[in-house]
Amino acid sequence: MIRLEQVKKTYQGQTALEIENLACHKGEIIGVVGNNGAGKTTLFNAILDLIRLDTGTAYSKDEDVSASELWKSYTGSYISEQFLLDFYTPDEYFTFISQLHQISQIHLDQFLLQFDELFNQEIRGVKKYIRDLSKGNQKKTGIVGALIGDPEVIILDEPFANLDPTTQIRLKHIIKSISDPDKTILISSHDLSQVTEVSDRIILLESGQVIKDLQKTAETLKELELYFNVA
Amino acid sequence: MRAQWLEFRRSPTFKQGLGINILLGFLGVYMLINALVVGFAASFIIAEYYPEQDIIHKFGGLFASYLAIDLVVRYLIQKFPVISITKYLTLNIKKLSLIRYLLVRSIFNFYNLLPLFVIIPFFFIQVLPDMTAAGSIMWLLTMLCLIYLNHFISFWLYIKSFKQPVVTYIIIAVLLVLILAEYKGWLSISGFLSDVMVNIYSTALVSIPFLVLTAIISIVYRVLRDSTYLEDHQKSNAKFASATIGLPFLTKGSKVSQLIQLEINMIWRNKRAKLFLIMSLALVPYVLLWLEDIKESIFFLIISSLFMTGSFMLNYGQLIFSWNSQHFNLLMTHKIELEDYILAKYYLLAASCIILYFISLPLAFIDSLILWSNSCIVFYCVGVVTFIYIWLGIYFSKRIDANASGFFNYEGFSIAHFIVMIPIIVIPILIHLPFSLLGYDHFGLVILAAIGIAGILCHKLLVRQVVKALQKKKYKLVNAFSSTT
Repeated sequence: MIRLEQVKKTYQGQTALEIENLACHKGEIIGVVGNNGAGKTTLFNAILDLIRLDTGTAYSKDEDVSASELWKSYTGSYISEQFLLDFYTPDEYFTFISQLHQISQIHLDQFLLQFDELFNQEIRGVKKYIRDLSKGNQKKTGIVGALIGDPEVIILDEPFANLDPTTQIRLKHIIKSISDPDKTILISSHDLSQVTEVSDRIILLESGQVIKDLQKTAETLKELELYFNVA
Repeated sequence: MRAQWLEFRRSPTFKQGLGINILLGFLGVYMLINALVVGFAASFIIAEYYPEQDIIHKFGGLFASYLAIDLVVRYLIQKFPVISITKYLTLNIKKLSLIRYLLVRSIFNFYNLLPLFVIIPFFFIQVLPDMTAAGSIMWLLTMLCLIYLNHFISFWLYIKSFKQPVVTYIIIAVLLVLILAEYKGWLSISGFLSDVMVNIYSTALVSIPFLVLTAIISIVYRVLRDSTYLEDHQKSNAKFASATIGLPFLTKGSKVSQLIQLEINMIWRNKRAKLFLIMSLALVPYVLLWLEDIKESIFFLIISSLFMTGSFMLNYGQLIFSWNSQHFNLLMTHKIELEDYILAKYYLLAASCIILYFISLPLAFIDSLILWSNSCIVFYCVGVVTFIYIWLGIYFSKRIDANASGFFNYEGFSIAHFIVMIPIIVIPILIHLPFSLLGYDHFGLVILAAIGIAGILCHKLLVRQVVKALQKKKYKLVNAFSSTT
C-alpha cells in the first residue's frame, strides 16, 4: 500500500528521516513511536508529500506521491491544526470535506452518527468557529474529518494527545472498528501503552531511522518500555 | 529587560522583514524631518495665514486639534507592549517592576517623539523671545504634559478595549464628532482651548495638566496592576458563527466552485481579509481626487483604470496564498487537485475585477474617456495582472494570521510586494508608449485589451504553467506556512 525506498531527509545537516525500505500493507494498524524529534511527523509528511525528500521516493499504491495526485482521493490525514478550516464551524467543515468526496449531506449525517459519543455534544450543531473550540475538540473534529470518504489510508499524528481519558478510550474503539482488510492506518503516539493496544505492528524510530519493526505480541509493550528506559 | 530586546532581534519578522523595517524606518525619519520643518516654519506660517491673531495663541489652538486627531490615530494604530509581558508573569520578577517597566517603555515611541520635533524649534524661535523665561518654561512643560496626557489616555483606552470595547467606541465617536464640529465651524473648541492654553501658564491653572497627568498615570498603573492576569489579555471572541455564504450558482457544481465558496467565506470571516475587501471598495471613488490629471495625461488614465478595476486584486492578491496559510496542509492533502485550486484563485481575482468594473461604471458620466479606458484595462487585468500575482504568490508567500487586526499590519509582506507594484504600473504604460507617441491613444488601449483577451483565452494553459511551478515550490510554502512564531 505504502512504500518508502531509500528515503532521506536532512534539515541543516541533521538527519530527520533515513529509511532504506519500509512497506505498509493493507489491513495493518501501524503505531509509530519514538521520542521528540525522532522523525514521526517527518515520516507522515513524507507520505503526504508535504516535504521534499533529499533522495528516495514515497509510493502510495505504487505511485510516486510527488508525481501523482491520485493518493489524495483515498488518503485521510490529520497532522496539525493546519488540516482544519479555522473559520468554519465543525459542521461546515465536515460538509466541505464530504463535498470533496461527492458525499451527500444525508450520507454524511448518517456517517457522523457513529461519532456522537466521541463528540459529546460539543461539536455537531455548535455555532462556533473551529478556531474558538478547545484544543481537544479541534482534534476530534480533525480526526473525524480525516475519516470522511472511507479512505483506504489513514494517517493520524498524536491522535491521543490533548484528549481526556474517556475520549481516548472511545477513540481507540473507533480506530479498531474502522480498520478492515483494505485499510492501512498509521498513528503516532508518545503513549506506549495506548499505541500498542490499538496497533498490530509497531515501528520504533530514532533519529529518523527505523530501530525496531515489530509485530505486536504480548511482550511488545514490555520490550518498548525497556527500550525507552535504557535510552 | 534584555529578553525583550532579544525577542525583537530574534523574531523572524526582524530578519525576514528587514526590508520592510528599513522602509518604515525611512518613512519615520521622513515624517520627523517634516515635523522639524513645520516646527521651524510654524511661526511664519501662522503669521501669514492668520495675520491678525497672536501667534502663540493660534499655535496652541492648532496644537489642540492635533492632539485630538493624534488620539484617534493612536487608538487605531498604536500598539502598547501589554501582551508581551504575559509570559514573564510566572517568572520571579515582581509584578510592580514589570508594570513600571511597561509604563516607562511605552513612553519611548514614535507618537511621543513626533510632536517634540515641532514644539522644540517653535519654542526657541517664538516662545522664548516673546515671553518671560519662567512663562516660556511653563509653556513647554504644559505642552509636554499634554502630549503625555494623550499618550496615557490612549494607553488606558487600549487596556480598556480588551474588556469593554463599547466604551472606547463611544469615546472615539464623541471625539470624532468634536473634530467634525470644529472643522465645520459649529463650535470653536480649538479657540477655547487656545484661550485656555494662553492663560494657563500665566496663572495658577498651570497645575491642572500636571494633576490630570498624574491622575491618569495612576489610573493606568492601577488598571495594569489589576489586570496582569492572562485572562485579561485574551479577548473572548467566541463569536457566534455567521451563516455560510453560499452563492446559489456555486453551491452545486465542481470543486472549483466549492473552493471559491471557501475563499469567499474565508474573506468574510477573517478580520484582516475583510478589511482588505472594504478597503478595495473604498479605493474606487478615490480616483476622483486626481480627475484633473486623468484628463490631461493618458498614463494617469491607465493607472487609475488599473486601480479602479484591479483594486481588490492589487490588495488582496499580494497575499494570495498567504490567506490560506492556516489551512494550507488541508488543501494540499485532501482530494483537491492543484489545478482546481489555482483555477479557483484565478476566477476569484477575475470576478473581482469584473465586479469592480461594473461598480465604477457610473464614473462614465463624468468622463466617457474613463469608461473607455476602464473597459480596455479590465481585460488586461483579468488576462495578465491576475497571473502576475498568482505566479508571484508562489515565490513570495509567508504565513499570516488572516484574523489579526488589519490596520498597519505588515505581516506577510516583504519588500518584493512593494517592488512588484512598479512593473504592474510600468508595463502597461510601456506597452502603450509607442502608440501614444504616434498619437493613437485609443488604439494603444485596444492593444492592451487585446493582450488581456489573449491571456483570458489561454488561461487554462497559463494555469497549468502555474500548477507546475507550484508543484515544485509547494514544499517551500508548506514550510513557510507552518513555522509558528
